[in-house]
Amino acid sequence: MHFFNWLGSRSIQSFLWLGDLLLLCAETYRNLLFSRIRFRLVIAQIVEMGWRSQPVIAFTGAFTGAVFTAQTFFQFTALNMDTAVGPVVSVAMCRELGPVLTGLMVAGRVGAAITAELGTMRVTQQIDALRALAINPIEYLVVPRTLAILAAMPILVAEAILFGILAGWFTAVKILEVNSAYYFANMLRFTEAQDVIMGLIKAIVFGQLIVAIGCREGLAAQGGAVGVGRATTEAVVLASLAVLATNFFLTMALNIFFPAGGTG
Amino acid sequence: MTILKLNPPKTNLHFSPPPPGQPLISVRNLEQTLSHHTILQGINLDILRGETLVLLGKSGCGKSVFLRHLIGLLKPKKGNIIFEGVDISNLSETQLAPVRKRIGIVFQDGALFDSLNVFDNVAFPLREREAINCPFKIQERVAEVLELVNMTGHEKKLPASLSGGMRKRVALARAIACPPDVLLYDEPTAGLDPIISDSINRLIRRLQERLGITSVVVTHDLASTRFIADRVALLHEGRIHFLGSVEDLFSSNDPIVYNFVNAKSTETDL
Repeated sequence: MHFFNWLGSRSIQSFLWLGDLLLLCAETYRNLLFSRIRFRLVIAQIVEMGWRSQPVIAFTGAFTGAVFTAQTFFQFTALNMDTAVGPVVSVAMCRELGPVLTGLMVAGRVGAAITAELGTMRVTQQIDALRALAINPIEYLVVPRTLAILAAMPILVAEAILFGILAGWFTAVKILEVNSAYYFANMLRFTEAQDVIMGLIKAIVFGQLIVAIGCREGLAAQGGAVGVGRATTEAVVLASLAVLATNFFLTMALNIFFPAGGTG
Repeated sequence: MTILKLNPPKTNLHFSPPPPGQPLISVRNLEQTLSHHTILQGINLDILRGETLVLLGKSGCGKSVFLRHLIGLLKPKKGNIIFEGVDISNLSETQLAPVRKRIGIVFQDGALFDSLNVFDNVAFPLREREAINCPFKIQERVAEVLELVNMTGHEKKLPASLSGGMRKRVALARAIACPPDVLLYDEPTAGLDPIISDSINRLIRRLQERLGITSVVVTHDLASTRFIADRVALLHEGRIHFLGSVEDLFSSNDPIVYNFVNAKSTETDL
């Protein structure tokens, strides 16, 4: 009986949380369309979220591309398909690895920063001070962060894909001695614009999820420093899980519009 | 002191400003429950235009909770808050904006924006709410209010490097940067030494005299009360137990008022 009570209570809490998240998104887009947009804050957030995330994204993309190339090569070389490594790596980087790993890294770095900042503002009454000054916290805090991540995420994902492909090429051609001309020719033949578009669509969806979850957890934080810490951990975990789960559904849905190997 | 000319708030609410001495804010049967605890149970109180009303009470009795209702930061569970004839108790955040432009609040710890320096904190309502873009106007107004609170020369400092008293002064400067009709103070002298407390009290008095601001001060500091109060209310067990002048407060024979004023604890306080 206790188990069912616990399950029921958790289910209700999850639905309430989801409702909160959807309301926050609705309120954000309402403010985005009808309220003042503070471009100075948007640019500051692009620098914080996008520009400063670049090293970690480039590093993640490069090493993922390199290790994926090596593993694919070890399997394919037995079948004498060395030159097929290029397209496999580039398509995987564009469609899955680039957006998902960027999403996870951004959830850790940016999601945590958003929650910690907004959570601290909440527990030190700075959010109340904003409200008391007749400034809508959604308009002032959430809208600039949303616009910034929507602008930054596609660029970060493109960067991860680029570094992944370059590191894959370096590993295959310079270390594993795959023929460079065939590697490139096959990669360009089988990698299409729609693979990149799919990655960029995922980037925008993941960015929106990360910023909404980060802001929601921050704005709901309570209980001093411990509460902010707990909210930050939850934001990172929830955003990472949301990225992984949404990725599956997005892959299935987007594959209808952009089928893998469609014209190849 | 020059009075900053601001755009009148766009609103569909029809405020009826009362003459001095008439109720500016009326609280009717205010009830509030937080975390299953009844905090306020049927408060009735009129705040008169131009007065300084001090709300006294023991720590944790709900004084700050009451104050937060006056500016719409909390919604009443029951009852009404009427500001210039308009019931603001159930207005949305957007609808509350014109009310909040006329009521300022100084939070207990200042609630300064810690990423902004003193100048930017004080300039915040001018830039973000009133959308004043002229740097000269902002500079002039910030200098004026910082001088009023004796904080000239600290413009570049971040809140983290300020003392408690300085933070409260800057919070006060921010609250009056766009002159409000009502100013709410949440424990303005809590945690400050007697000298700094006295300077804050003088500041509250000075603001009332110079700007004619109606003030509601939540405190348990009796020295402050003597100095700044026109009227005093004592909150006890979620209700207004006493309402009257400072003289009436200190000469009261009511056991609860007497114990509070003479700092005597009872068995139930242990």
